[in-house]
Amino acid sequence: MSIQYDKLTKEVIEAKLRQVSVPVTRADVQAAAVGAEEFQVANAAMLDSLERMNRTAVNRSYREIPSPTLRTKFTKLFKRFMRRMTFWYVEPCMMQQTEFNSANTSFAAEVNSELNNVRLRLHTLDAYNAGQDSIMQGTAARIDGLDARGNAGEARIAALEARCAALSDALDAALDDTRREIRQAAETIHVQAGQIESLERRNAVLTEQHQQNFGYQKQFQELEQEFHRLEQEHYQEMLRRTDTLDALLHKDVTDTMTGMQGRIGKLEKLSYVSAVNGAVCLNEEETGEFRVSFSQSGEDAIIRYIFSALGVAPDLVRYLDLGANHAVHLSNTYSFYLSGARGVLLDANPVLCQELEQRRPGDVVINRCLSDQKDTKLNFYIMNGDGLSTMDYDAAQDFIAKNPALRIEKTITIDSITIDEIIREHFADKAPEIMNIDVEGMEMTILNMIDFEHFRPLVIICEMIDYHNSLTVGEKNGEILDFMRRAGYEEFAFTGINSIFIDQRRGGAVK
Amino acid sequence: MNIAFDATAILGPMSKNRGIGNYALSQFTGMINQDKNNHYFFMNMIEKDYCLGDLITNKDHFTEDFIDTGKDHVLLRNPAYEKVIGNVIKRYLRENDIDIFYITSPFESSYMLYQKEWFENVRVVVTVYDIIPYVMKHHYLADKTTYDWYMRCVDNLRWADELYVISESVKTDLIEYLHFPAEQIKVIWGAVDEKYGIVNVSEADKKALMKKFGVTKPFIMCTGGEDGRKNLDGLVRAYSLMPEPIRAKYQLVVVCKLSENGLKALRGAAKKAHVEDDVIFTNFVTDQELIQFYNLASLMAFPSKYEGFGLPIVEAWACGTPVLTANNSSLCQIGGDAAVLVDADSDKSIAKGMADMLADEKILADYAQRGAKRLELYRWKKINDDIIALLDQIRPYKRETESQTGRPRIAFFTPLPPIESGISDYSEDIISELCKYCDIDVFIDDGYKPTSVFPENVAIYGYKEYPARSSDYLDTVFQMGNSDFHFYMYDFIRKYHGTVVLHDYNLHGAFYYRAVTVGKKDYALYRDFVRADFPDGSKDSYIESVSHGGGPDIFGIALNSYLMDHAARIIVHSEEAKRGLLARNIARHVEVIASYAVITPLADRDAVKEANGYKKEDVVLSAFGGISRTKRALPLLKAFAKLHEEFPQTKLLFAGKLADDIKSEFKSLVREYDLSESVQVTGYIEIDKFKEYIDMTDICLNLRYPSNGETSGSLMRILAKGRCVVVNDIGSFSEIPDRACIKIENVGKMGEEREPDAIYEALRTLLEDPDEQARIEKAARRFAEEHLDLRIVAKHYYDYLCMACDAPAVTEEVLNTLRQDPNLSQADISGIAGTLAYAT
Repeated sequence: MSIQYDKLTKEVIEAKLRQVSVPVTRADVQAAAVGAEEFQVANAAMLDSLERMNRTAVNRSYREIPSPTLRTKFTKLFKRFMRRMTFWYVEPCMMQQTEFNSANTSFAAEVNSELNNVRLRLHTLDAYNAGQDSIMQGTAARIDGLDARGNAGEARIAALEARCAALSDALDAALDDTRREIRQAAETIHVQAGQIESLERRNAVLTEQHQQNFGYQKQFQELEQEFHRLEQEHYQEMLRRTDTLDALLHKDVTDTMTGMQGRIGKLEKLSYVSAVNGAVCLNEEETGEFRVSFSQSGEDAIIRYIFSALGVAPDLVRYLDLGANHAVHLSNTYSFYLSGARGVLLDANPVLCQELEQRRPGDVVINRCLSDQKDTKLNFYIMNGDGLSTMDYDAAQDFIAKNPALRIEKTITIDSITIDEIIREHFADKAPEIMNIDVEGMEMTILNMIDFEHFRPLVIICEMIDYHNSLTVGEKNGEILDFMRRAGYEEFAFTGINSIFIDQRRGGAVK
Repeated sequence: MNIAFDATAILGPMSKNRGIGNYALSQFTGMINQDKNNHYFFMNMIEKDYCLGDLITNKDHFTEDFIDTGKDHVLLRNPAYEKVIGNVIKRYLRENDIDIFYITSPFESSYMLYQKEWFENVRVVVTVYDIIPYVMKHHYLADKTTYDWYMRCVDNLRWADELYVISESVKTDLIEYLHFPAEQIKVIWGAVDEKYGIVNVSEADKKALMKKFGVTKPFIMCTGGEDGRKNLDGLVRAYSLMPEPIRAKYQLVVVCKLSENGLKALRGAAKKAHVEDDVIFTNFVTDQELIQFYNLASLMAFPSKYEGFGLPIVEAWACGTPVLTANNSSLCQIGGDAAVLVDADSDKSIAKGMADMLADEKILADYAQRGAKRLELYRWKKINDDIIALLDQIRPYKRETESQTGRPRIAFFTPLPPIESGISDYSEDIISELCKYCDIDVFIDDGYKPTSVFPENVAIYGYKEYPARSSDYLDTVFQMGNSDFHFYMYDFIRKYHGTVVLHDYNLHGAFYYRAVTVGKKDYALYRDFVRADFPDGSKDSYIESVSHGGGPDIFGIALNSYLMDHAARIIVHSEEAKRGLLARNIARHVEVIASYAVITPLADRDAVKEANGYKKEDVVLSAFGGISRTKRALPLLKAFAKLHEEFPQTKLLFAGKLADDIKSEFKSLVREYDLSESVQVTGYIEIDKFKEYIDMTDICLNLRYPSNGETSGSLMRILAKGRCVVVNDIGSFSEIPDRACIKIENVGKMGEEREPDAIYEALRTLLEDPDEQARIEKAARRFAEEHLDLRIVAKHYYDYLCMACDAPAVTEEVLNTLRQDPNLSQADISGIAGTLAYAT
């Protein structure tokens, strides 16, 4: 909505602002001063004439006739007299004249007015034409400008086209390079694809093998379980028979046991051959039955013999294996573990300890290194050869000097443990039946730490020779032999590597 | 209450679509739609095609008016037009009974300032958004001109009844810096626009937005402007100071319009801080994009150094985005415990604030939640209710008209009967009706005793008694005509002004008579008479010739300014006269009040005919008033001669005196056409006889050429008596509606040759179609009843006399200035002319 104003006032103001005469009416053009303003447009001489005509249009007989020469009172009186005398005749003439004059004046004013209108329109047209001219000029200038811009534009377009062409060439060259690179890459990819194919093939084979292995493992586990079950059965059977049969029958029992062990060996051979390289020694050709030994040189078999001779049940013994090394392979205690005996396994090598824990879950595994000092940390040198890892750097260097294929794979620090700690913890009540010492050169040190007055294992197995990568003869450690003797142990057997000592105080009875 | 508000905030070029403009738009649309009691008037002086009503649902309580001040607001820019604008506002407030005027943006610089005196009896309230320029005057008001202007704006706030500020901080500033009294200030706060809210930005939209502006990571958003106060450069530096792992995770997106220079400076700052790759300047974005940015931002940072009201804070909250802002001005008041507040002057503080927030999703979520809660304080619904409550508490001034007591008294200069003048009769009738509204003292000339009989509250005095009583009157009215009966008023008009009723536009005849005859060739006076209308000296040679005995050009040169220039107000009877007066000088108050007619019961035409010696079957054609050349007596006679041959029952009556100059010609024509039986000339007659003759007439003739700009009393009587009349299409006659009379062409246009035929044709047509004649008679009577009735006219008189008129603001000088104003374009003229007309 808009405010309500007076329309007439608005029109007047608008006309004034536009600087045109206010269009009152035609009457005003003639009568009012606003009209007179328009007359001013016409030429001044004409205006003067019009004004004079207006002034003199009305002629009456009594109008004073100026007389330049006769200005006396008399002449005035005379004139007045004459006017009165001729009034009847002059007045109508004058009236006619006046009418004519009036018409003429009015006509002249009309003409003047029309003329002004024409002039005004001409003026407007001129202004309009001038405007058109200037617009034309402006347009021409703009066309010129546009032309110039067009030319400039064309030049720019040409330059741009040239640049485009150059860019296009460069692009082509770059494209060629790229194509070449792509070709090369494609060839490389082709070769790699071949490699991948063969790798995949290998992978497939490996996967197959892995699956096979997995199958074997499973079979083994089943057999192991079966074995445990049978073992229990036979143990019960044996107990029963032991109770009922006399000493004469003992040989048969032993034979049966041996037979069983042979079967176990056979089973192990079947199941574990790939996992445990050469862990089983066989003499089936000779005896026709299996005799199981995991030790390097039949030490476990010897001890079994001792136990049988002493009447010690091999399944009830306990053992302390210092330097237990591999859980099965070359183990002097594994055969007893299988028989149901349990004990303590010590090894400094954490990798081996892991395996020990896995494979011999019934045993206590201690991953510490033996030392005469409590709570210290000692270096442990892990060798790439089995059973050779040691705490003794010199010993390790010695191995290496003797077998150039060996090297220290890793040095780790291991918490120490004293032999007393082990005894206190695990054998406080009773010494184990078997103590195995295989600590690669530190045997003497360890033996020295043991208080043989109060701690007396029935059988002690101790390594007696230095390490060699070939068969060694006649280098038995005399120091150990002497020490053991002083401690009251007699060498029962020497396997070429280990000596098996029997407690004289008990074994003497055997003698 | 009626509340008017201006458009400076909503449409002012400094504010439109910006903070202030958006604020005012939300405020007023909300207020109007919420307020069921008050009526709001939107006074738009700025944008022609703008329609605020589109946003208003409560339309019964809303009016919007456009006041054209030119496309570039030429009327608002030059102090020369100050009075014009003042008059416009005063009239607007008066016409709409405005109780409260609400100034929406007091620092809209390009416009002239409101003046206190325009708001008499109107309460004025103003929204003050901030006085930042004064608080930071060394920065903003360093230039003296700007400072002076600003302080003028500030001074203008002092007379406002109430100042509404948008935060506590602005109030404190006004009190502390400019010493405004606390009770003048009310805090209204600000609010978030409804368009801001949590929106689900689709993955595709998000992608498009990010791509359009080059955003590649989660981002911190900020908005503002290039004004240093907004501290965008500080934010950019702070962004670069954040720990690299956090900074590298976020980009900084500056969402606001920036000038080329502003953009360059900020890019430079980013480059200097080595973060130019991660700082993005969107420049202008659409509303939709802005809202999407708010919604997608991880954090909105607004560390401005000073804000009257930090809108971006609430906008971000509305979009569910956590906010970091500064611990200064209104920002900390709005932020409260729902935003992280930092020291805007310390880049490190800003950096730490942002890094701490961004380092922990939980903190961000926590602040988003707090923001959502605090946002409820800044909702328009609440804010508007508060403002309406404030407005309702304002006590409006009492209406002036209610307080006015006592009966007004009017002085009335006029001749009265028995003076033989149409004006005498006119005044007698007007006074007897006008005195129903007010007491009247009539001042008459010496030398006669009026015969009029008036009610008691009308007194008649000799004019010499006027000076002693001049201060008793609401207004003094002078009835002015072109005769010596009015000479006694001349000096009084020039001295006491008052309202002049100009019956004859051209007073030249009276002036000439006064100077040359009565004044005994007082050519000096005659010269004054003429020069008042021709001050440029263009009629000096004419004066010279008259002074030497030349004949005067009484019809050719219209005069009236000698008196009209001194009239405070002028009443005329025709638009034509008004136009002429304004054309001469625009700084005049001119009112058209129709010449009146007394509406009496219609007479029995045939009875009157017979009473006057005519037969019933006679068809009486009459012309009234002096029989002269200008009343076209001779062409009429010729036309009648032809008509009479065809319609022998027609009679032609000239009710008036035959003028000397046509007497012989008239008589010879009567003889020539042998019309002595059918043409009657009455000679001078009394008014009653005059009326009787109208009653018995079948068709009246009221011809005129040329016109003196006069209205015809006879014509009014003819219309009131319901008679069909033939007139020339000239002067005030043209203003009679076509349906109520027969118009023949202006003689000036058709020429005298054709005139008799034209008259003949018009009469013949009427005689052949009696139904048409009856229809016109009815329409004439109706027109008279509706417009010419004395009661209506008298009321119009009274209302006009009581109407407050502002001193003329639109003068010839103002128009001259405007014409030469370089800011005025031709396209503006029409609209501006309307506004100027409103201001007169």
